[in-house]
Amino acid sequence: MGRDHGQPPATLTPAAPVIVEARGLFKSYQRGSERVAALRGVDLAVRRGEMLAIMGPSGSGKTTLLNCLAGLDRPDAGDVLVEGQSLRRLSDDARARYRARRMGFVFQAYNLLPVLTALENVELPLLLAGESEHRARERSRALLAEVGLAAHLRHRPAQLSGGQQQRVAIARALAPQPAIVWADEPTGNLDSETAAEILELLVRLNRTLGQTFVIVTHAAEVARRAHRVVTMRDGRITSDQALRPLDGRTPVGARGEHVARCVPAGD
Amino acid sequence: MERLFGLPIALLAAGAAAGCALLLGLVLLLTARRRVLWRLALRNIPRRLGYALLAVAGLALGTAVVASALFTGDTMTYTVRSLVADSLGRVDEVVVPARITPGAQNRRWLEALVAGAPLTAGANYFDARRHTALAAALPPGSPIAALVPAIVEQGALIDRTTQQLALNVTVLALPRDTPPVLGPPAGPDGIPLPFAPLAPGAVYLNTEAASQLGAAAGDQLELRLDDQALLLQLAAVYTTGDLGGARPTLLLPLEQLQELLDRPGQINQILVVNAGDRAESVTHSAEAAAALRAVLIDDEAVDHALATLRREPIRRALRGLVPNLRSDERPRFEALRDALDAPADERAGALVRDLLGDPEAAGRLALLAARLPHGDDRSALFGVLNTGGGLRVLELKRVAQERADTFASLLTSIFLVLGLFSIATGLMLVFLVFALLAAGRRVELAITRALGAYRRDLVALLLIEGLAYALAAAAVGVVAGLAITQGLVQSLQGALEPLGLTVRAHATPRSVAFAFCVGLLLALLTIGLAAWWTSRLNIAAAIRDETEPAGRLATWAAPLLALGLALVGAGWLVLGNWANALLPLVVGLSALGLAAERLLAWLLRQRGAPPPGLARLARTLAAGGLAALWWEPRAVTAALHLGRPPLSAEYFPVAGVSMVLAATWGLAANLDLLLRGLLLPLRPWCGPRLAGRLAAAYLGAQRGRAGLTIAMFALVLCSLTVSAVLLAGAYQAYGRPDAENAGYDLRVQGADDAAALDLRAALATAVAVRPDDFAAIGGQRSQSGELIYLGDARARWRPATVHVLDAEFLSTTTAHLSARAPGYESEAAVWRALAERPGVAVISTQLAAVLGVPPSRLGDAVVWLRAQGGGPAVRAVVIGVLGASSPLGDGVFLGEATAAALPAGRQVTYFLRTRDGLTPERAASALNLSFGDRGLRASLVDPELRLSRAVQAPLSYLLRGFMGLGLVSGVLAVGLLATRAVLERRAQIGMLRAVGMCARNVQLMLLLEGSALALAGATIGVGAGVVLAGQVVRQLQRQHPEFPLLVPTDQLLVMAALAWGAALLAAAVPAWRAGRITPIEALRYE
Repeated sequence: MGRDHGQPPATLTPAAPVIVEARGLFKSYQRGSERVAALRGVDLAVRRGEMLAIMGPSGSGKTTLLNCLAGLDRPDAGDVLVEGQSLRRLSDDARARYRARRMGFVFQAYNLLPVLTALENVELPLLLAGESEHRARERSRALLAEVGLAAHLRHRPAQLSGGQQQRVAIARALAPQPAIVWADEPTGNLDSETAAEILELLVRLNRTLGQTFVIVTHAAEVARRAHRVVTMRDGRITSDQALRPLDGRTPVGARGEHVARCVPAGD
Repeated sequence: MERLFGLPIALLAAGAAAGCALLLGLVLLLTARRRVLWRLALRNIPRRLGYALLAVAGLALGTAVVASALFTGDTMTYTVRSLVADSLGRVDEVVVPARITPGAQNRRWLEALVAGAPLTAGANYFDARRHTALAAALPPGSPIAALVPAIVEQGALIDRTTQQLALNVTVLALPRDTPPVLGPPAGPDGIPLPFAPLAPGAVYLNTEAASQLGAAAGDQLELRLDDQALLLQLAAVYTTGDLGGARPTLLLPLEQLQELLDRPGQINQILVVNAGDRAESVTHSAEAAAALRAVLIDDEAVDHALATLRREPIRRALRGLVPNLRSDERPRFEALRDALDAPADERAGALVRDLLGDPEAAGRLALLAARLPHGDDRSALFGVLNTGGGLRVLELKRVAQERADTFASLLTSIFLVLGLFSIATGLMLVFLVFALLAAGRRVELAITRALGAYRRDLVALLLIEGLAYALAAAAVGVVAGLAITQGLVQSLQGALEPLGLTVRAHATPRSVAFAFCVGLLLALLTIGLAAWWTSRLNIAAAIRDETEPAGRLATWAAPLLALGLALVGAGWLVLGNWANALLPLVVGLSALGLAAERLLAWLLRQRGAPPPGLARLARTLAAGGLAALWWEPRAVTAALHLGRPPLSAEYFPVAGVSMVLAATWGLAANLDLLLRGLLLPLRPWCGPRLAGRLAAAYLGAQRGRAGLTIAMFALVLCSLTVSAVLLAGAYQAYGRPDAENAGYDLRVQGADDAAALDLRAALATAVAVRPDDFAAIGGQRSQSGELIYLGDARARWRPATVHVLDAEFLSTTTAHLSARAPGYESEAAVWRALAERPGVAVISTQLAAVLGVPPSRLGDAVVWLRAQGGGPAVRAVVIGVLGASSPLGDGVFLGEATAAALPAGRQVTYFLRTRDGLTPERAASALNLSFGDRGLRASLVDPELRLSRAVQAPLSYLLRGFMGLGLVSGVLAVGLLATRAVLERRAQIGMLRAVGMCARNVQLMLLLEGSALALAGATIGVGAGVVLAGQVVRQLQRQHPEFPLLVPTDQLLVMAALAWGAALLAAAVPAWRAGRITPIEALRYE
C-alpha cells in the first residue's frame, strides 16, 4: 500500500507535532451487487494547528476518509492514530468517549438537534463528556458569544438562518476543546456571503486558538485559505500541496491543547 | 382469582413488578450522569404526536388484553363467590343424605347454583336424631362452632295482604335454640328479634323477601312448597344478613315446619358452621369435614368397604381411573390405590372414610362402579357407597370457592392465550412505530453518536421516550380493560338475568397492578429491542442520510449467530429426542434450518455479493421448508429417523406463529415479484401499470417493514380463522341447540294419578299462567312395553318404553334424528309421517344399538310391539333414529295412529315452548304455582344447555373481539407505512408528478401497496389458520371422532375482505395527500 507521493508534507514546521496519522487506509462498500472501493491505501498526517483542506471530485473518497479519520467509520484495513492513540484498537464506547473529549464536527447540513436551543446544542458534547452542567453552560455561552450569537442563545435551530446554524455548529464543535475539528463541506449549504463569513470564522479560530481543522470541501476559496490542500481521486491522494507554512506561533498550552484565552476553559 | 397458568398470581405480579423495577432501574442507571438524555427524549415526544399516539395505542392494546382477561377472571370469581356467600350466609358445610347415583350430584349442584340456592339442592329427609348422634360423637377440639339441624326448601310465597308474589324464596326452618353463631335475626333498628317464642304459624321474612312482597308485620302469607300450600303470618321483618344469606328468606321454627309438612322428627340437612369469623371459617373446612366424616362412618362400615374395594376387579378399575382424574383429585385416589394394594396399610381406613364421606369423591367411585363388568361387584360397590344411609359432608363453601377460582383461572388463561395474537400484533406495531420514529430521526441520532454519545445512550434516549408512552399506555390499557370487562358483564348480565344469575364486575387491586406491570414490562422490552436495533446504526451513513450498509451486525457476528442458533437447535433436538416430544424436536430442526440459511448467506457474502436472485431463492426455500416442517412435523421427524412423537396441546400455538412467520419471511422476499404478477392484467393501461411497478419496487426495497405488517395481519387472521373453523366444527358436532331440546323449553310431568289432567284445558283456568303464554304444547304418553326385532339373529322380546306422541307434538317438535330412512327429505318429514301414517316408528339411539338396527336398514327394519306381559302386537317400520342427546328419553316412539291398538300409557309428559318475552324459568315457577297441588311438576328441558347457551354467545363474541383487536394494529400499521411512504418519497412523488404522472396514479400506487400488504397477510393468515385448525381437529378427532373439520369459507372471505377494506381505508388518507403534492413544492421541500 503505497503513499502516492512517497514523501511527507514538506512544509510543516518541525515544532508542530503530528496529531492525526492515517496509515494505509482501505475502505470499500457494497452497492447492489458490486463492491465499490472508496479508499485504496491512503496515508496522511495532520499537524497540530494545521488547517487542512481535502478536495476532489464527487466519489473520490473525501468524506469516507474524513469519517475514518474521525472514527465515525471503521476502515477495512489500515489504522488511524489520533494523538498517538490507535482508533482501531478502541472499542466502540472508547471511540465515542474519545470523540466527545477530543474531536469536534461541523457538517454541511449543520445537523443541530432541532429540539434543543442553540445553547443546549453547544452544551451537548460537554455534557456527554461528563462536564458539569454549570461549567458546560458557562463555556457554551462564551463560545456562542465568540461566534457572534450571544443574542440567540435561546433560539431553536428552526429560528436561525443557515449561517447562524453553522455558527452554532462550529461553537458546538469547539466546546470540548477538541484536538481536532472535522468539517465536511461547512459552507456547502450557504450563500457566498455567508460562506465567506463562516470561512473567516474558521480561519480566525485557527489563527487565534490554534485549532486544528480538517475540512472536506469543493470550494476553492476554502482551500485557498488552508495551510495545505490534499486532493483525492478514486480513493487515492493524488496531490498534497502546502500553501503556506505553519508559523509555529500558534499558542499551545502546557499539556498540548490550545488555550482559548477568550473562553473560560474546563479543567 | 388466585392462580394463572398454574402459578400464583401474587408470584406473577411480584415477578412483573420486579421486572419493571429492574428495567426502570436500568434506565435510571444509564442516565444517572446523562440528564441531558432526559431533556432530549422528552422534548421529542410532541414532535410527532401522531406517532406518539400510535405507540400508546399499540402498547395499550397489549395491556388492555391482559387487563380484561384478568378482570374477567376476577369478575367470575367474585360473582360465584358472592353467589355462594349470599346463599350460604355463615354456613360452611352441610351434612346431607346423598344417595349415590352416577352423575346426579353434579347436575343437582349446577341446577341449584343456577337458581342461586345451593343450600336447597334437593336433599332428602332423614331422622333428626342423626344430628344429635353426630354432635355427641364429635371429638373435642374439632374446628366446628355449631351443628344445626335444619329444613331448607325453596318455594313460592304469596302475600295475601298485598297480593304480591315472590318466586324462589328460601324457606329456612331452624330449632328455636339455634346457636347465635349462625347469626340471630335482628330488626332493621338492630334490636334482636326473639326466635324462641314465635307463635304457631308466625314467621319472619328478611328485608329482601319483604321488599319483593311489599310485606309488613301482620300480613297473611301463603307458602307453596311442591304440592302443599301453607298459611302463615308475618311476625316481623329481619335484616338480610348471615341467616339464610342475602337471598329472599322465610325463617320459621323447625318443629313448626315439620308439623306443617307432616314430617315430625325429620330434617333434610345439618348446617355446619366452622370456628373463626366469616372470612376465616372456610379455611377450616377440610379439617371440619374430616372430623365429621370420621364420625359419620363407623369402623364396621369401613372394614366392609375395605373388603369390597380390595376385590381385584375394583382395584383394577381404580388403577385405570386414577390417571384420568383432575390434578386436585388425583392424590387422594392415588393414596387409596396404593393403600389397597398393600393389605397392611393402616392409612386405608382413614382414606376410605374420607372418600366415602365426600359426595364428590363418592361420585367418582360411583362412576367407577357403573363401569364394572360384573353385576355383583357393581352392586357391592354401590352398597358401600351408600354406607350409613349415605349421609355425607359437602364442603359447599370451599368447593364453590375453589371451583370459582379454577373456572376463572381457566377462563383467563384461554383469553390470554387467544389474546396473545393480539398482544403480539400490538407489540409489532410498537416496534414498527419506533423503527419509523428512529428512521425519521436517524440523522439526529447519528449526530448525537458523533458528538460522543455511546450506543447505550441512544438506547436510554429511546427508552426514556418509550417509558413515557409505556406509562401512559399501561394506564390507558388498564382503563380500557375495565371498560371491556364492564361491557362483557353487561352483555352476560342480559343473557344470564333470566336464569336468576347476577354477574358482578370486579377487579382486584392485585390484578390492576399485575396488568399495569405486565403492560409496562412488555412495552419496555419491545421498545428496548427496537432501541437496541436502532442504536446499531452506522454513524457515517446515517449523518449523510445514506442507505444503511448491509448488516447491522459486525461481520464476525454473523457466523457466531449461526453457530449459536445451531447449538440451540442441537440442544432442542437432543431434548426432544430424549423426551420423545414433538415440539422441542421441531423447534430444534427449525433453529438448525435457520442456522444453515444464515451460514450460507454469510459464506455467499464472503465470496462477494451473491446475485439477488440467489439470495431470494435461498430465503424462499428456507421459508418454505420451515413452513412445511411445522405443517407436517411428524412426517419430517419420521423421515429423519427421529420417530413420530405425538402432537401435544402446546404445539399448536407455537406452530401457528411459526407457520405465519415462515410464510411471511418467504413472501416478503418475493412480494415485488408477486405484485408484478398480480398486476399483469393492468398492462394495457400505462399509468396504473407504472403505479403497480413502482409499488412493487418500493415494497421490495422495504422488506423489513413490509414483512412486519404482513405478519401482523397474518397472525390476527390466523387466530380468527382457527377460531372460526373450531366454532363451526363444535356447532356442527354439539350445537344444534334447537334439536337438543327438541324444540321445547319446559317439561311438565305428573304422577300416574295426574294423567287425567288435560294441561291445555287446565291452562285456561290457571292462576299464574295463560294458554297463550305457550307457543307449543306437545304431549307424550309413556308405558312399559315389549319389542322384538326379527332382523336380529337372536331375536327375542325385550323390555322397552313405548312413547306415544300426540299430533301437536309431532307437528311442533324439532327433535334431532341421527339417521332417517330413504325417502324422507327432512327430520320434520319423519315426524309428520308418524302423525299421518300408521305402522311407522322412531327408535332411540340406545335401542338401535341394543337391537342392532344399522342406519342402512331404516325403512326396511320392522319391529313388533306389545304391552308388558303380552297382548296384541303392533307392527311398525323403523324410519328414524333419535339423536343421542335427545331429551325425549330411551325407547320407541309412535304416533297415535300406530299406537291405537296398544293400551294407553298412564305416564303423561307435556313439552312446552314459551312465547317470546316469557322466560322459561318464570314460566316453570308459574306452572308449579298453578298446578303443584295437582301433582304436576314443571322443569326446564335442559338447564345446563340453557346456561351454556346463555354464556356461550357473549364469551364467543369476547374471544373473537380479543383476537380481532389485533386487526386494529395491522390496519394502523398499513396507515403508518403509507404515511411514512409519503413523507420519505415526497421528492420522488414530486418528480413523478413533474414527469407527467397524474395524481390518480400516485394515489393508486399507495393504495396498491396497502392492498398488497393486507392481502398478503390475509392469505397467509387464513392459509396458516386452516392448516393449524386442521391439525387441531385431527388431534381432537382421536378422542371425539364426531368433531368435523368444517371450513366456513363465507366467514373467512368476509374476514379477509374486512381486513383488506380496513387497510385500504387506512392507506386512503395518506394516498389522498400524496395526490395533492405539487411537483414544485415537493422538489423544493427536498
